Amino acid sequence: MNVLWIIIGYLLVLLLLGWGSGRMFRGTSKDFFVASHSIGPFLLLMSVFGTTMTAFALVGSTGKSFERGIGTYGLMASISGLVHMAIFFLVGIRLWALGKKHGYLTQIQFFRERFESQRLGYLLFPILVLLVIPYLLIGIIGAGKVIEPVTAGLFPQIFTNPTIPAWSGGVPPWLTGLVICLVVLSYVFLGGSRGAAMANAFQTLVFMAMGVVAFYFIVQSLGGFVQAGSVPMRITESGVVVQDFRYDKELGQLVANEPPKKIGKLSSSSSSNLTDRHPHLWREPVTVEFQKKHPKTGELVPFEREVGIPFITFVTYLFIPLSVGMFPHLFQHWLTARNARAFKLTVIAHPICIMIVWVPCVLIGSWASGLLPPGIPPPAVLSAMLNMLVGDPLLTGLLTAGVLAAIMSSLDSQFLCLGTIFTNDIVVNRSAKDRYTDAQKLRIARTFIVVIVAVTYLLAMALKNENVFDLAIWCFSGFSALFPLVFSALYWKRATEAGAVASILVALVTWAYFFHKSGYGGEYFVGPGIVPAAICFFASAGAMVLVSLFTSPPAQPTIDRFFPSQS
Amino acid sequence: MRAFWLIFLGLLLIHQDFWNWSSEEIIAWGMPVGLIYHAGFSIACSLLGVWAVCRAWPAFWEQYAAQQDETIEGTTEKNLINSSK
Repeated sequence: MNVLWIIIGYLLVLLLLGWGSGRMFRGTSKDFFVASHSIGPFLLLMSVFGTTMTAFALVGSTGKSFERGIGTYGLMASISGLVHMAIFFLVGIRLWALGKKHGYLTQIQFFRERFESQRLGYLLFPILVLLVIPYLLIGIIGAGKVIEPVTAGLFPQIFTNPTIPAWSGGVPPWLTGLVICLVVLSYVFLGGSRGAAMANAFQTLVFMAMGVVAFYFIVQSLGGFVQAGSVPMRITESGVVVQDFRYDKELGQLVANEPPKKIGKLSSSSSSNLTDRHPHLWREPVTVEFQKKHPKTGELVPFEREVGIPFITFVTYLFIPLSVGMFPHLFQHWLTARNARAFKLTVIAHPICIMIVWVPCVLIGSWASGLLPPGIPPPAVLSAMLNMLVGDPLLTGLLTAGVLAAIMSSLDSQFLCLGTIFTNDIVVNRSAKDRYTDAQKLRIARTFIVVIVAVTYLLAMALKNENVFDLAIWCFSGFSALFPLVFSALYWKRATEAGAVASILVALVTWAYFFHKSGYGGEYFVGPGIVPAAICFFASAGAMVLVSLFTSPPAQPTIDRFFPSQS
Repeated sequence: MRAFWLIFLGLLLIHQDFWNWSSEEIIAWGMPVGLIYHAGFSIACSLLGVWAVCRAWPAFWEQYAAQQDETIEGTTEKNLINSSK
């Protein structure tokens, strides 16, 4: 029961923080939407980092590493360190300066003026909303996946229909999702973007600290780093895949399996010598056939999994992190900065923050391959490892609170952002300047946020068994496909409205095509392993360049406005 | 800025560390070479950030944003309404 009390206590602290930031709220829409441009370097770093790291970073990375091994880090984390840092530096600072100078509150306001087009906003708005929703879904799904295993057995009489039999009596995902949504809504309502930034900073510190603590205890339970390094599943001489160890809860230590436990067999590989190799510790792809119990019938069902990462997949994944350049919630965070100097800390420290969070998660995921059943849902790997290896309810509660912190620190910004763009870009946009009072604008934004939360919650319940990593990748792919739009808007004077519309439409069509081919959210590669985001990006960039070159350039006053002379 | 782009492209190239592809050698702290290399890569990205902030800081944009002539809330909407008429 301690676990649950700690989680409840953490949620209460957040509500208290929301109440505190509400007292600092100045009552204006500008304060609600962009915190009156008052956020300093540390809060900016924490809120930007907290926003980009969600269930995807903790739950998703551990699950992906459990499936594919340590290559997950290079695939997403180290390349994100490089690409995000460059985007903050090359795109973020310019957008902040233009936003502050011309009074923009949203991305769409910037694009409308840059491309001299009202309709561009109406085209972009539904696309941005549709792409943010999967991002919200991964948070709510991830939270449900984390809480159920760690509370298993607490309410055996009440919650009798668990996701898997072992989690019977645990708090079900529908209840976790509901509570998380309500808590986030509360502090966003009270404090707006300042409340979100303060809650993000607090939550980012919590999840980073808890991540390090979780890692320490897991390493201790595994007998230290050296021992832990030998835990991942191993391939034997005959091509059988085995687990050499198990964790004995009573002894509180690793015990060798005698003989090693068979969990699968090698299906295919391009490598000739795989004897005694641990495929989770390298990136050479191998395909392994495992078995898992059918959740309803209990029958053993075979399934195949590719461990490792094909080279072409690794290379083309670099297009995924470009998505941060087009995240509308990140644009809003950039606008909250007090001045350009506030970006300096974010540019420098963001890659290190990613490393601090991702390295432990990726290691835990690869070690888990040698201890957990291969059929366990990937999003549940982190919780299952905590439950098995840490055990202590107090610590498990704190660590689970850390995971929730990562999830909620993204949800708040996304909810707030959707309310902001709906109010400013759709409702207020065409009306006379004094048509709406500040109080009315706030009411509209809050109402839209409630609608979006309700829709997202229902969708999350319908898709609760989706892999959060794969779902996130589809969301990121969509934003990456739109990246040529923001980059050309800032760096190419010749980019035109028609080019922008063509770029958006091509991005939408190519993304929708591949999303359909993936079966609406599954892992999907083109040909030898090309990430669809790479193709969508080039198609969108090509459309922007070609159509812009064949249409009239923007008016000179527009060019002067967005490309001021630097001499 | 050209130097920033050159270093950025250099880092992009060395990110594809195919020479570590098939090695599972544990180097330190239970980390195989493929992971420790990329953790080092993250530190290199941060160092590029330090360099960018110290040597290629876009001071122009900082000054541009500080000019107060158009920073009136509502300018955007007013402009759009005028332009759409």
